[in-house]
Amino acid sequence: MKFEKMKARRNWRQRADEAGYLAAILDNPPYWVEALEDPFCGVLTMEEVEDVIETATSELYKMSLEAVDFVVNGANSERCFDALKIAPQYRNAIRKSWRRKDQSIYGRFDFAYNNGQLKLLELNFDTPTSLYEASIMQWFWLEDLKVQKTLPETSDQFNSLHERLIESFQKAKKDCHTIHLASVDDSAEDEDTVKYLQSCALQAGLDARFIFMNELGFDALGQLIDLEGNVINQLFKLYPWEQLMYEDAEVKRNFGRQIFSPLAESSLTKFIEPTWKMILSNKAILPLLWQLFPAHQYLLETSFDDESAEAQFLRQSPHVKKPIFGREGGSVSIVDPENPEKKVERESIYGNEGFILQALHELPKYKDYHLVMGSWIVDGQPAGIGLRADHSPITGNTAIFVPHYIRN
Amino acid sequence: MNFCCGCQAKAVLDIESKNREIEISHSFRRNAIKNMESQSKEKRSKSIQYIALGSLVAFSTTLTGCSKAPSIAQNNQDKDKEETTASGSHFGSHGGGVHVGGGGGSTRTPMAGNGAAKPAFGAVSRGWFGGFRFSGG
Repeated sequence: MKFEKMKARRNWRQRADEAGYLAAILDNPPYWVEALEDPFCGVLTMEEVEDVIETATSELYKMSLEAVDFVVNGANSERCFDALKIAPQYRNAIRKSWRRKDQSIYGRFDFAYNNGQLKLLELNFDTPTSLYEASIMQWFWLEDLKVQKTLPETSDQFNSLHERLIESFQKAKKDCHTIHLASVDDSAEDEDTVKYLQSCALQAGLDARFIFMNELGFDALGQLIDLEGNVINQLFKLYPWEQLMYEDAEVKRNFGRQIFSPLAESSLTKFIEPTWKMILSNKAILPLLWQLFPAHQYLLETSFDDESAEAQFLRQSPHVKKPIFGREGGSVSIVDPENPEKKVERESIYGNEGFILQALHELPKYKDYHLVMGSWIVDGQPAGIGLRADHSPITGNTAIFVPHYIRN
Repeated sequence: MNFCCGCQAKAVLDIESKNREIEISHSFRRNAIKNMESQSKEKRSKSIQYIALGSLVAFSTTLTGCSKAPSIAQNNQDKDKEETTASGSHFGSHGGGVHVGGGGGSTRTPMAGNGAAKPAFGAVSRGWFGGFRFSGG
């Protein structure tokens, strides 16, 4: 993978505005690369896409599902759940969700793809974002550059996200014709991501209704209720399961019952992403993967941040410390034991549940940007990639989205 | 006899060998074609049809009984090649509605997360979820 300078399209703001995403991508700071003075893009070969990225994504997804099965059905299931810091009252919901094969729409692996070597950094399988940038914005970016003759007509892109998402929502229609899609109310990026998914669900033929998370109600029967008083039978939520776990506990303290946990366990409400995704959206899955598939070519050595020999070994070399529950690079630090003063840290609220340690694998760089590759899984299949660039080696929520093309 | 048998056997073997060569040749060609197809297979959606976010708001206000989304098609084949870029009419209505509405036409009420009192159990309680300040992942 290479990076090359690319002039911004004259009308890129208009293009984003027409689609309805301008406000979100101009959020402060802007996170679409053409907003920069010196925009750039990623360049890949078809061999890299097919033989490395796609292959790795498929294989890692298969391994991830095996890890979920190990947690749910293995002899040490309870110990695994303890390590994952998943509350006991959610474990049966997760087990049932997995055994029922509750549908998953999407997820994203984050890769460090540097010098031909690809390594898994983490999994974002509960609340992944940067979706419409990858699916829509970069699709039209390439389309425009081909029309402008800036790039040859044969240029391609690893991006079938949009059609795959619609296909996936068509499967969701089999269970229930209506779906509610919820996001938090103070993040333009999240709101637009959910509205984009709503548009995919509409195209799939679903009656797709948007709602903010704090508008979700519940009645005396413990059913989720929308603003019009309808029972919510199918809910897509761009909101962490682990946070719902805490909020559910608060509801129980006040009303003597939980809402999400029993609904998920009984499947009276179908949740997307399903509860079994709690296992994969959790950084503790990384040491588990390493234990199940030791020294696998796509994995980095990882352990829990404890007194184990593995952890002590990892601390002797440059490593990354990540909170078990965390988002957007929050509370992540990079430590070089030989240069402790060069510690890089992104302070945040995460970390109460503990940390994991992961061997450091540096991200590729372009100028002073570090680039992480997000590889999407939709309905169990690799569906495309998106690149994000950050001045820090810890990718945060202000990272800039960088489009790519395949040079044929 | 032995020799003849051997001769016949050799002929059979030759034929089998030839057939195998032909089959290998065909198989090679099939694989080669498959590889070419694989290599020429586009990794990108050929066309994208999507609904601009601004249109979603309009759609949400007429949700009940509405079975057809106000979709705006974008298709490579239909694209106006004379445009300097691929922008404009293919998107249809202007987006711009990112922060407008979205709650099925209902008015949003103050929620517990915003400091409002939490409603009593018995009717519908709201505001217990979504209080975490969070942005994607």
